[in-house]
Amino acid sequence: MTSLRPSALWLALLCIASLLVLLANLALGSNDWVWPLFATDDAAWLMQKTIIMELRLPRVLAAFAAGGLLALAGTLIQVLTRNPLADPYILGISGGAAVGALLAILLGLPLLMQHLGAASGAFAALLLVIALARGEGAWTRQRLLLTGVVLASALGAVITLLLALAPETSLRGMLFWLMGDLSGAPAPWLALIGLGVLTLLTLPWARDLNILTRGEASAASLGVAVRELRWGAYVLAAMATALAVITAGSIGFVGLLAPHLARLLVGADHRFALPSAILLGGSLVMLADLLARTLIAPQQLPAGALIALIGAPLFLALLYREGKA
Amino acid sequence: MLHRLVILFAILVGFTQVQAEPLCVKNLDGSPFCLSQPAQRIVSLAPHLTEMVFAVGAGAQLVGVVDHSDFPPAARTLPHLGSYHQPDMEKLLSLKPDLVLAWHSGASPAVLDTLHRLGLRVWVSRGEHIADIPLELRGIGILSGHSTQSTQAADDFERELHQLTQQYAHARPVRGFYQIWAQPLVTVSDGHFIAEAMRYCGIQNIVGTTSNLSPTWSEEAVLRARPELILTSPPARDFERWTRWPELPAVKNNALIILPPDVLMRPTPRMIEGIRAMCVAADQVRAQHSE
Repeated sequence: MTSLRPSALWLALLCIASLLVLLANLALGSNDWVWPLFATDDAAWLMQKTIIMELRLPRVLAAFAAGGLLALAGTLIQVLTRNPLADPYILGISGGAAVGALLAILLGLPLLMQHLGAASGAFAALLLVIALARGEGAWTRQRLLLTGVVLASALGAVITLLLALAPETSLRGMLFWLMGDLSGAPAPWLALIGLGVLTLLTLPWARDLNILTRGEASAASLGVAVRELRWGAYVLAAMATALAVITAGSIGFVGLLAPHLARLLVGADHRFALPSAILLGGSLVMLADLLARTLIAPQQLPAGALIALIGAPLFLALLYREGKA
Repeated sequence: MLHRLVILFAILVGFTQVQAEPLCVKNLDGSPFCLSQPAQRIVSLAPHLTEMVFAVGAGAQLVGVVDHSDFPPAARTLPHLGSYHQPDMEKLLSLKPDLVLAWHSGASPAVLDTLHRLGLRVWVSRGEHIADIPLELRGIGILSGHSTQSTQAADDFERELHQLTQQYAHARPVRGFYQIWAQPLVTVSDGHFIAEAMRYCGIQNIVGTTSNLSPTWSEEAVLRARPELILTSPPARDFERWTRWPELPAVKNNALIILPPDVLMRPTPRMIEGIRAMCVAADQVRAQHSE
């Protein structure tokens, strides 16, 4: 019980931090901030309102949802594979989504088809991994991991080919998609609702996940339905990844980083680590997108490229502090 | 009194005429795109569209451009919105444009989607072929209220093209290759406006038709096709590479030609200058052979 308090405190702090980052995203942009109370004329305020409601709000919600979903998926996959290097993309889902989306861009299809392409690619990869990794009864960690990794590399090769064959005019769109980009984020509500639902589905299993990290044999002996838990976790992680990738392209690093950051801050108890990771992931992507929009405005950067730039030093600093303690 | 009535009548008639005839051009799908009055605050989302707005005399109505809008020099001082692919939407919106000119293969679908959602008037043009140039000049002229000047510019352009077509209709075809980039070796295939320019001069593009308009090409394929003329535009990086093959007709003919800068890279009226330079190069090759 003693370790509960600092964890809860950290979680509360993360909630406040996420809210602040969200507000900063709404307040900052290349257009100056106009306070409603001090607006000199109605036209300026009306313009600002349109900018906030139509441009900034959908985008920041999409950023939070994508980051949160990837953090959730990353946490689950790391427990599932018991491998600290695992991230949501290790199972080939982002590769599948990328092939679908890039093909749509290459063929010059409309935006909706691009999202549908990403969605169908993601789910095709997901089903393929399930089908191949299942085998006869025995469902080992290594088998899942290897299947995913090999599928991911094959899809990576397809992506490289698509890039090599693409005309210049579609190349930029394709690269932005691959680096993770929120400018074209469709329906943030879908991702946000998805995040809510998947989080609610995962949280009741948090205790079981804690036990699972100690090994399957001990988990089974403690009465955890290991097989069901593994399947459930895998499907949830895959759904979260697919939803995130459809929303924001293949934003890298956050799915690996956020779970580790959360464990370093609040400890390994998933009842706290899981929501913390979601908040951290969401905030990281929001922060990265804020910088992507404003750093060298009016030039726009892909948010994905900035996440590692912010996240890596943060992670190394925490790791260093942990090592000294 | 009668005098005044006549003036009043004239004003009324003029007024109703303006009201009755909106300024209409065509969208890419053939549907009409109309403005009720000439656009006074135009944003251009591609460098070649910026050039054309100036070419029809509507430069003063331009309020925002994207990067690389460097011609005419007056375009450089206009507010910049970032890249053509992902312009800064907030800045764009704050410029309060009454017309956004977009390039079909430039702006990302997401950008066009958002612009439409925000209720902005967006005219999307193709900007792919030489034949698109006079169409776009006329369209921009109509929408900006400069149709006299734009008709003139478009007619001039078409007349010059027509002259070239007649001049080279019976000239001996010259096998040519156009190098866009050296490493990797990128070229143009038929359908690209540079390849179209070559065709006007009777230059037969050795690349032919490919699915990608600017494919990466193999050096061996170039050597095998034995081009009589190899063209590029500045910066001509690593263009001397071809001199390693003294047997290549283009090298033997001394026909490794660097064309004038900038004019061929965008589908704008300035292309005519580049096409003429191409034709001169082709004529030189033909002259050497007849000697």
